[in-house]
Amino acid sequence: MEYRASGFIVMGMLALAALGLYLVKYWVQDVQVEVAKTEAELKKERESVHLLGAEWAYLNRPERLEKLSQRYLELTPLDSAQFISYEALPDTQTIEVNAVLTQDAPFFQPVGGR
Amino acid sequence: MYRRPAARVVHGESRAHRQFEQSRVRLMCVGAFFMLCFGALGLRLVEVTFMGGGDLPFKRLVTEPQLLIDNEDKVDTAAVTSEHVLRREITDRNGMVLATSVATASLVANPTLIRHEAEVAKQLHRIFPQESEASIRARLEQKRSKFLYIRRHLKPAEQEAVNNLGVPGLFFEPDYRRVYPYGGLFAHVIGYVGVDNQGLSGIEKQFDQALEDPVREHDPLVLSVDLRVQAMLQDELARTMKTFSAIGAAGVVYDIKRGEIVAMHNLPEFDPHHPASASKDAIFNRATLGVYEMGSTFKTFTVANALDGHATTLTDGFDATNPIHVGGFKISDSHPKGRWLSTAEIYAYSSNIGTVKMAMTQGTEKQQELLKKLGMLEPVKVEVPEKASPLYPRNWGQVSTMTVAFGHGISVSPLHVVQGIASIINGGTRAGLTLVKDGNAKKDKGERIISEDTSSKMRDLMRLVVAHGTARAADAKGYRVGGKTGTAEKIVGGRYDKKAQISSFVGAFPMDDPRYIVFVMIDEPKGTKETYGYATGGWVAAPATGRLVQRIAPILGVAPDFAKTNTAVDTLWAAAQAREKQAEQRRLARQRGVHAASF
Repeated sequence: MEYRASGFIVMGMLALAALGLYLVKYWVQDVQVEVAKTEAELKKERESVHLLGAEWAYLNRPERLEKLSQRYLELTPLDSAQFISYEALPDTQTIEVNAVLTQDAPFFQPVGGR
Repeated sequence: MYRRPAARVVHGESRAHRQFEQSRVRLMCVGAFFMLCFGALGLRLVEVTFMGGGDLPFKRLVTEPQLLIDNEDKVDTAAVTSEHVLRREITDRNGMVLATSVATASLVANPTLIRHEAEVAKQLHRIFPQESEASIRARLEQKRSKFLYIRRHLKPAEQEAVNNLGVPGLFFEPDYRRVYPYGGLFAHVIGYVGVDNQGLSGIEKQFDQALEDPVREHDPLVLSVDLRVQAMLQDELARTMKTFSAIGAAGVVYDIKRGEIVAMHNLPEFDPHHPASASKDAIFNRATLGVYEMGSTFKTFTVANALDGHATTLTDGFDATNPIHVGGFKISDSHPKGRWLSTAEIYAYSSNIGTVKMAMTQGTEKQQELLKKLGMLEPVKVEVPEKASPLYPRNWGQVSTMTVAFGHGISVSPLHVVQGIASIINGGTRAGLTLVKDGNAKKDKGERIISEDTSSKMRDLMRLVVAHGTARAADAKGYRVGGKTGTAEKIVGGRYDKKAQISSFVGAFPMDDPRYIVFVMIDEPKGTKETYGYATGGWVAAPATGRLVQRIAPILGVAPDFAKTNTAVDTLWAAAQAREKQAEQRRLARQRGVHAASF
């Protein structure tokens, strides 16, 4: 009987194809599960961020901030009389300021003027 | 002798050969067919891998509902999932979240899968005492529908408790609950939603469809209101209401340049999470839906009409010595000066007599025309569904013209007043209202109603009222506030009730180039010792506005300027002072004359 090599080649290819199918299919399924897991995690995180946004808004309620500011800040509301424009300042003069930042003298030193 | 096997073989060969050939051909056909199928599969593989071929089934993995017990073969998943769209956030103009949808779980039952209904009902009632055991049992027992809500929006603890019961036929459905972090502060502007997150009032109702738009799911709806200004408005309204034992209040802060409402609030307010338990009075949106006779505030329109019609000037005037008698009524001044008054004085002293005479120079039709152009005879255009239709005289004769001139006989909402005053002082063009940020940005300037010159004169007059007239309490130093007070008795049981007043003040600052309008209205204030028993606009609403302007001006970016003076206003006041002095001297002279005569 004649056995043609092509027969064996084809059978070999068949076996390889079957093996390949098996591997690819289960690899794809694994990836699918990963994707679904990641998407679910993303969804959870987005929901958390959203919920935190609502909590942040709640923590910024004016009555709460007012209580906190009264307790911790020694500030009172501004009155318009506490504002003044630059032009209205008395005796303003231009002062040249030379910014000197060195190891020994890390502060602004006024140069010239009064 | 052998027969030649070849000959027989040839015959046999040809028959077997033919059969063999036939089989071979058949085999080749089958083989070709399979090659075709595999070829097609191969092409599809290429398509799916490299050319994005179509919907892949694995997406379903993510949108499966959470099942309490995995019952895949029995469960009809179509019955259990229902689409809940994420309702968009609503924020203020600075991005502060005013309304948001929070993910919750709702308890759903498929009664056809539930056995031992009584036991399950008892267990569920223990977890949800608000739901009566009988009603839960009834729901579980009716086997017609496969999808019934047991309880919406479970707390996490409740959800865990139900899960621990391990009852088949109960499912958690992902749901959303509308949350308003600032509670009652925006209850009237934003409104509230029903149990299925459908908008029932306010912005929630007006934009109901837009808020459920899946394409813009993560885009917030940005309103024009400012949380900080709203909070300060609420604070001042509440304080004033308490001081004067009022039954209600409404306030509006309006950006003239942008045509946007920066703050709008009513008191009493309600909790939008529980609208069902709110009183009707609290839910009522006074600023948009309430109509009130505003009183002297309306004189602004009468004076503007007369000035624009060139019937008078600021220095011309009318004789306000004697009250006007018409149709059985007497129209007099609350603080009669008993002399001739200039237009400026009529407005500053809020003289009814003078205003009526001014209105008569224009007549009924001109009055109606101006009010119509100002939008006083129809609902305002703003993005809430609850808008009032103004009440005005059916038979608008001479008497009605007179009363409308000083703000009686016509009832409008606070938003009407804001819109009208804005149109008068903004240069004279029709102002628009919006609650949405940049809602009026693309709009052209409104139709011209009065001339620029008239508008400028009205700004001077309104500044005069605050600087020297009835509204001095509203004069927040440095901010050049201008405005007009209004005190109107409410109609109770068909007649005016002296004890029930609407005290209001409409102001704007800075008056040399107005940027914001502030309107404050107090419903039924009662006079106090400090106000000598008075509860008029000047004693109640004007001081509240003055304090409010001091607080909101820095936030709104308005700087005080103590150097700015208004010579026109000073001149008008000087003239008025001079006339007062003259009148006083004449009065003294008359008294001396009487004394002399009695000798």
